[in-house]
This record gives sequence, C-alpha cells and structure tokens, in this order.
Amino acid sequence: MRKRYRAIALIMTLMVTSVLLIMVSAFFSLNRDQIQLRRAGDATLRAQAAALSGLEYARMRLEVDGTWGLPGSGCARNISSPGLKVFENDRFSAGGIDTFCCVGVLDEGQSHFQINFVDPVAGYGGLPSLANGRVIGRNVESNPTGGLAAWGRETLPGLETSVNYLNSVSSFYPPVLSLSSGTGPLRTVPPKSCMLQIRGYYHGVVRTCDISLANEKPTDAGFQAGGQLALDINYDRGGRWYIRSLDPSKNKIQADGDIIVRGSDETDPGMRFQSGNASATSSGRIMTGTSAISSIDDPHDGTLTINGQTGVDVDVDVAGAKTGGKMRPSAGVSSVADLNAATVESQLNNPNFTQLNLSGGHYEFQDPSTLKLPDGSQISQIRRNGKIVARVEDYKLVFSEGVSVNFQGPTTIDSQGGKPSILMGYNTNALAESYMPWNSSGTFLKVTNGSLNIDGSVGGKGSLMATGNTTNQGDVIMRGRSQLSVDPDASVTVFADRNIKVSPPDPTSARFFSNDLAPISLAMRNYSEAQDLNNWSRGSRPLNDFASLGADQDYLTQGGKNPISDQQVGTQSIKTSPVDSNLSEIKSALIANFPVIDQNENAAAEFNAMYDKFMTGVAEPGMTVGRYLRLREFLRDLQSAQDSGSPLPSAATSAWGDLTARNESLNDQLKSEISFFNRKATASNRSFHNLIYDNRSTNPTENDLTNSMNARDAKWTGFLYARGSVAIDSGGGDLDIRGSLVARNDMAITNVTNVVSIYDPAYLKSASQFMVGNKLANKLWCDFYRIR
Amino acid sequence: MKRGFSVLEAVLACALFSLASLCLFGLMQFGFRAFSMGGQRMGLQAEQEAILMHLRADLEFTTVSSLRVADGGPRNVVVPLSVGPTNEPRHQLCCCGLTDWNAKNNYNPQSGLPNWDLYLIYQADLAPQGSLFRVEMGPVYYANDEGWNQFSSYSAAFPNLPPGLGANVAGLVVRRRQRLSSNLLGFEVTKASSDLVVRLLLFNSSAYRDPAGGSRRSQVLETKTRIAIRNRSH
Repeated sequence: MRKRYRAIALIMTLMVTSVLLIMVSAFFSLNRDQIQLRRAGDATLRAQAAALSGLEYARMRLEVDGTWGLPGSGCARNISSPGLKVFENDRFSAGGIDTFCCVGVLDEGQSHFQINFVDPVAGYGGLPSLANGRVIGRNVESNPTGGLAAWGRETLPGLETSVNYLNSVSSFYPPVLSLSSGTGPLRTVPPKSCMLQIRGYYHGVVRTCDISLANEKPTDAGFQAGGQLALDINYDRGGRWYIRSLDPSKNKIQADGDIIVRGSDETDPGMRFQSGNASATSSGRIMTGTSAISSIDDPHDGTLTINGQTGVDVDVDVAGAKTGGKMRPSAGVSSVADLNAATVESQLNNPNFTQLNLSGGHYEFQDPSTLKLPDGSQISQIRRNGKIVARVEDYKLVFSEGVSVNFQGPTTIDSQGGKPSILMGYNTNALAESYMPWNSSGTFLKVTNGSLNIDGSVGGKGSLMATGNTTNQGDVIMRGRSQLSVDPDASVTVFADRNIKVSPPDPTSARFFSNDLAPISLAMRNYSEAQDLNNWSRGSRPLNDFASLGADQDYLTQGGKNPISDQQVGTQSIKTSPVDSNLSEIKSALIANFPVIDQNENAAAEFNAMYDKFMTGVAEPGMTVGRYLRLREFLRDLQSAQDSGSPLPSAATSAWGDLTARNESLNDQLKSEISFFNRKATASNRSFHNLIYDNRSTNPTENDLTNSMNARDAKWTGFLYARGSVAIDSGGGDLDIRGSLVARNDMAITNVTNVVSIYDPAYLKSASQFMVGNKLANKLWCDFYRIR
Repeated sequence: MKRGFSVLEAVLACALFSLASLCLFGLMQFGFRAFSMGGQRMGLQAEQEAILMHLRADLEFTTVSSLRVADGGPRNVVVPLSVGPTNEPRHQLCCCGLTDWNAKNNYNPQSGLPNWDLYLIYQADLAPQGSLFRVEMGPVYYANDEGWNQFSSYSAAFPNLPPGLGANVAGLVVRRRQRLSSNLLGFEVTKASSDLVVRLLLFNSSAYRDPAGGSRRSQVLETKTRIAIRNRSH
C-alpha cells in the first residue's frame, strides 16, 4: 500500500510540474509576442517621429530660405547639433540629373529622415523614378557618420520625390501631374508651395510624411468677418459687388454671422463672382438687403450696431446661379484668426529700421511745411543719424523708408489749412519734392496704447498698426482718400487692435492719375523710336523691364545720371521727349482732377499762364513729359492753397515754372510713375510695349488704366485686419480692395457704388513674415498633411 | 495508541490546513480583485487608446473648416455613479474625410488638395450606459470642405443612436458604422482656434467592490487631449 501511495505522489508531482512548465512556457510565449508587438508599434512611432523631425527641419530651412531644396541652389549645408546631424548635397546626381538630397541622422543613427528633391522646371512629365536617387536606410543605420558619399544608393520612386515650388511665379498648370503610368506624385503642386515626401526610418520600419507647405495665410477669403457682414451697394444705379480671387482653388467671402448685401430680391443679392470655386459662406443667414443702412453705431465693445438694413433670405439655388457662386447659409465657417499685436509687430517691424519715437497727442499742420507737435514745438523735418526720417511737405507728414515710427499714446493728426495725410516709405535724401522709391523698403508706423486718428489719408508703402484694447483704444480712423497715393500697387498692412474706420475718399490727394498715361505714352513712343529701341525686350536697358532696371532707369528718363533740364525739348530722354498730340484733351483731363480750377478763376488764370508759358514763352516751346509733370504739381499747389485758404501761388514765381529747377525730383517722380505703369502692364499679362502702343493709351479719358485708377474711388492694396470691426464709407464712389479685408467682429461698407474685391494671397505675406537675425523669413504651414 | 494519536493528529492537521486555506483564499481573492480591477482599468485604457487613435487619424488629416459639433443642453445626460449622479456631455462631431488617400482621382488637379468624398461622424448616444459610434456617410461627390450642411438636421433626426448600416440620410448612405465603446460616460468636443480639444470619459459599467472589501465603486477614466489639425487647408 505504501509503495502504491508513493508512486501516485511521484506521478502527481510530475504531472503538476509538467502543467506548471507548460503554463510558464505559455506565459513566456505570450509575453514575447506582446513584446514583439509593442516593439513593432514602437518602431512605427519612432519612424513617424523621425519623419516629423524631418518636417520641422525642412520647414525651418524653407522659412528662412525659399530656395532650399532646389538642385544646384548652393544652399546645401552639413549641420550638426545635439541629437541631429544633417548631411546635404544640392548636386546629388541620380538618373543623369542633379537632385538635392538631405539626410538627417537622429540619436546617433538609431533613426533618420531623408528628403529628396528634384528640379521643378526640369521638364518632366510627372516625376519618374530615379536610379540611385536616394541613400539606403540600412546603410545610414549601420554607419551614421559616414555621409552621403559613403552610403549605398537605391532607386528613388517618383512617388517619394519632393518638389520646391515656393519661388515659382508663373503658372505651372498642371505643374506636376501624375502620369497615367502612375510614377508621378498623386497630387498636383501649385506654384508658391512645396511638396515634401519625408521618409522617416527606424530599424527597418519606414513612415512617410506627405506634406504641402505654403505661406501661412491668416485668411482664405477676400472679405472675412467674425460677425455680421453688411454691404450697402448702390444696386439701383447698377452697383454690384464683384468678387475675384487669385487663388484658383477658392473664391470666397465668409462671415461667422449674417451676410446681407443690397440687391433686388431673394434671387439676386447683388454679388457677382468672377472666378471659379466661388462661395458666400455664413454661419447664419445670407440675405438680400432691401433697404439702406441708416446709421452705424459703435457700442465700444469691438462690434458695430448696423441700423436700418433689412433683408430677405436668398433663394440658395437661384441666387447661386445668378451670382455665379454657391450660397451657403448656416454653414460651418472657420473662425477668424486672432492675430495679437505682439505677434503682428514682430512680423511687420524690421529691427534694422531706424527707430523714431514720438509722443502721442495732437499733431497739427500750421502751414504746408510746418507741423506743430504735442509739446508745442514746430518742425519741418526730423533727422536721425544724419538722415531725414520724417519731413513735412504740403500738409503731408512724410516718413522715410527704413524707419520704424512709434507714437506713444493716442495720436491725432489734423490741420489748420489743407487736407493732411501721412505718407510712408519715401526717399531718405533731402530733395525738395519727396517721392517713393520704386524699391522702397517701406515704413513701420505704430501707435502704442491708443488710436490713430488722421483727418486725412494714409499712403505709400509699409505697415500701420494701432494697439490698445477693445473698448476705446486701438482704432485706425482715416478720413479722406485712404489709399496708396504714389504707387497703388505697393502693399500696406493695417492692423487695428480695435476698429478700422474709413471715411469718403478725397480725389485731389492722388499723386498721379490714369490720364498721365497719355502724355507718357506719347513721349515714350517718340523717345523709343528716335533711340531705335523698337525692340523693347533687347539691349542693356530694355523698356519692357523698366520697373526692375534700378539705377539704369535714369538713362532712359533723363539720358544719364545727371538731371536733365526741362528747358530742352528732344528725344535724348523720356522726360524731354515731345508730347505732340491730343494736347487739349490731355490738358482738360489733367484739370479735371483738381476742382480748384472750377472753384477759383484766379487759379485757372495762373494755371493757364503757366501752360501758355511752356507752349509759347520759352526758348524751346512745346509740351514734354517733364513740363506736363510741372503743370500737374503746380495744380496741386493751387489746390492745396485753395483748401487751406492760403494765397494762391503765382505762375511767374512758382518753382515749377522754372524749367531749370526741381529736375531731379521730377525725374524721380517720372521713374516712379513709369515703374508703376510697367507693373500694371505685367499684372495684366501684357508687355509694357503693348500697353504703351495700345490704341487707347494716347486717350487721356479712356485708356486701359482709367477704370483701375479712378481718383474718386477708394482703393486698398494689402491686408487690412481689425481685431474689432471695419466700417468703410466710400462716399458714393467705388471701393477696390486687393488682398484681403478681415474683421474679427462686424464689417459694414456703406455709400458705395461698386465693390471690387480681389483675394490676393501675395499681399498676405507680410502678416506671416518674421525676422531671423537680419533675414526676413516667411512662416509656412501645411496646406496638406498626411502620413502613410 | 498509535491510531488515537493519528486521529488527533489528523484533526489538528485539518484545522491547521483549513486556517491556512482560509488565509490563502483570502489572499487569492484580494489578488483576483486587484487583478480584475487592473484588468478593467487596462480594458478602459485600451478602449480609450483605440478611440483616440481613431480620432487622431481622422481629425489630423481633415480640414479646420469642416468641423461641426452638435452640443448644447439636450446633449447632456445624467449618469448615476457610486458617488452620485453626474451630468455629462454627449456631443456629436462631424468632419470631412477621404475614402482612399492613395487614389489619384481623389485630388483636385488644380490645387492638389483632396476632393473630400465622405463625412465622418463621431456620435455619442444618450443612454446612461453610453456608447460612442464612428459613422462614415457617403458617397459625397467632392464634398465642400466647409462641412456637411445637413449635419444639424442629421443631429436632430438621430439624437441618440446613429442610423443603421445602409440607411439613407439626406442623400447619403451609412457606409460604415462602428461602435468604438460601450462604456461611455462623456464625450465633449470643443474648438480651440484651429485645434480641437476632446474630453473623453469612460467608466466601468458593472460596479465592483474594491479589493479591501469596501463599498462598491464606479471606475472612471477621464482623458482630455488637444488634437492639432495639421492639414490647414481651409
């Protein structure tokens, strides 16, 4: 019996031990599987993290240098920093062409990222696979310090090729389109963007970031309001709101509140979309306004109370067909980007600019060349480091380019006489007549903790901001023609911590006019034909490239570096070339810009005296461009004197009548104006030659610039942003906004005939720029993002 | 003598063995409870991870402007927990999505951006023992990236459970319907600039007694995370 029990005990012990062994084995097996699973997940995450590191590295390089990644660009660098070692080669030969290869080794080789660029203008039909186009991941892992030359290569699939189109200006449509063979990338890359395929690698696991980087845009709409958007256009007199966009993928206006636009009935809200993919999107209602806005109240909380306008809901389908865009009431809208003052200032202010600190308070023009400061002192100019940074001229406070102006506290600028204005980005030299250089670096103007209240206009090139709070500080208030006086194509960025308010424009403050095209085109034709420059695209100073000729512009406008006297009439320069036809029309059109001639007989007599003097009373009589400009500036003096109640200048004693005086500043004005016309031609996809020789160019009242340069219309070019609301009274004329107009709260536009809004992302650039050392960088964001 | 001694010995041994067993089983019960609690917590965590993985995968790639949230008072539910009733939000979230990111035709030839072709809905039901569903609605022919303009109607029509697979809603068909969790306590979605803040509360539905043998308690796992919508195209 004992023996049997012992045997059972042994067997049971063996059985229990076996079961335990099996259990332990199963446990270890399960544990090993879990560890492997975990390890695989971990490797994927690390590979993804490596790809994201590559994204941040590429973004950092591209923000500072938009040419990074272009083969042969010379911007390849080998960079070493803790935890990251980057190897780059901008002439990484693959498949018979140069590519740009960037490998970033992370954590001493445990993981890495790789980006391979090809030249976007190499003429591929799509992006083919390139033999030996990229380095082998395992080689980098085994020899992390080896470098591009030491690592083995493998074929780079077209799908994993990156393309930098950030600097492309012309259209590549479709720039990179997949071929039917499927070797190219799946997505088109539009100009001004960069497609990145960033390959992250960790222990044999690969994750790829598929990214499109583009300039960060604070908005994608021509008009965007965070509250109500109301437009009281003069519908009954044919007024419409024409909505265009230079972004081919979007043409949009948007409000996080109701949209109400004056129109006929529910079928026609008065909008007309003029480019594709158009929509009016509102989180509330979209209405056709059936009555006028009677008043707009400011409750001092950053919003507007818009009174009087009533409307009916649009018929989405019928109104959509009528306007050419989709009507999207009750739709989801993205919120208005909240740009705070500190961020905007860091983007707009250039630390290399000369600082000019002024106290806030009341600034008042005493006469055309004297400004009384808040402390009672009077100035005619301000100098810093021997340079003029601000001057007073013809009731204008003119700030020089490269100056950062800071008014400390609420600031009001008005005048005892003529209409005051602020000009920005003007010349720094001490010429009698200031001008805005064609390549002006602009002015940064800021009012700290207060509103900027100008009883006039703002013009020139630069940025303007007012900071404060949403209740009673931070307004930008402008009366008169608040637009760009000299070069309507230069961009101004306006940032208001509270509201932007604009009153009706003042036509007389325009610096030059569409009717100037007639005398200038006549003179340029005579000049170019005499100089045998009929082929405008050849030679060292082609007229078709006038705007970008720099100092060489002088050779064309005044025949050399030195000012040419207007005493001469001849084809040695544009300035002295004869204007020999349509003279009476040219004279009438010029006069029409200045009401003083109708208001004051003496002024008309003085003007005629000067005109006659040029035509008959000088040694070489006749009209030239230089003399035409003298007449225009004399008219401006007459108008200014009339407005301020000052004595009228005399034709006999005015410096504009002395053909030997002020030739240098006249030449600068002429260069500025011709540059502007040149850019106008380019903007409409035509050559300058084509504009000048257009049949209508010699007609001062009806040429190709007439519509876009009507001095009675309000024009803004740039990015206007209010953290509060925007209220614009257009004085019955048209309103033309190119760039974007954004209000975090409400937006109301009243007393306007036509509104033309053109969404132009190029003008939003200033809002996404920042300084890296002395270099201007552009902030980029992901237009498209995915990981595969 | 020997036999009597053996009986006493057996009785004592049994008593000692019983005591030892009681102690052992007590310890085992404690262990099992602790293990069960750990298991339940791990289960909730796994569920939470899976939900967040879905949310991240869908939301990081969608567009800011397509996000729509159904929230407000009617979407709050009172749930009885061991510590007392709690009022928790049960939001619905809708955004646009793409069925196949690798298909060439799913991209606009001009802009290179996706031609969104479906709407994704994260829907929390209103039962005390809540569930969270992920629903795919389609096909949408080039959905506008400003979101589904019928979403408010959808939310009004289906405040609780989402429609069944294959159901037709405002011209769209339910192509996929997944239950991500049946332990939902709260699902709150808040827009924060261009990001989305998601607050997710999961709870253990079967109340349990804590290992020390105390009163029954509900386990709640709360996660609040900010999901950056990286695809910034509007």
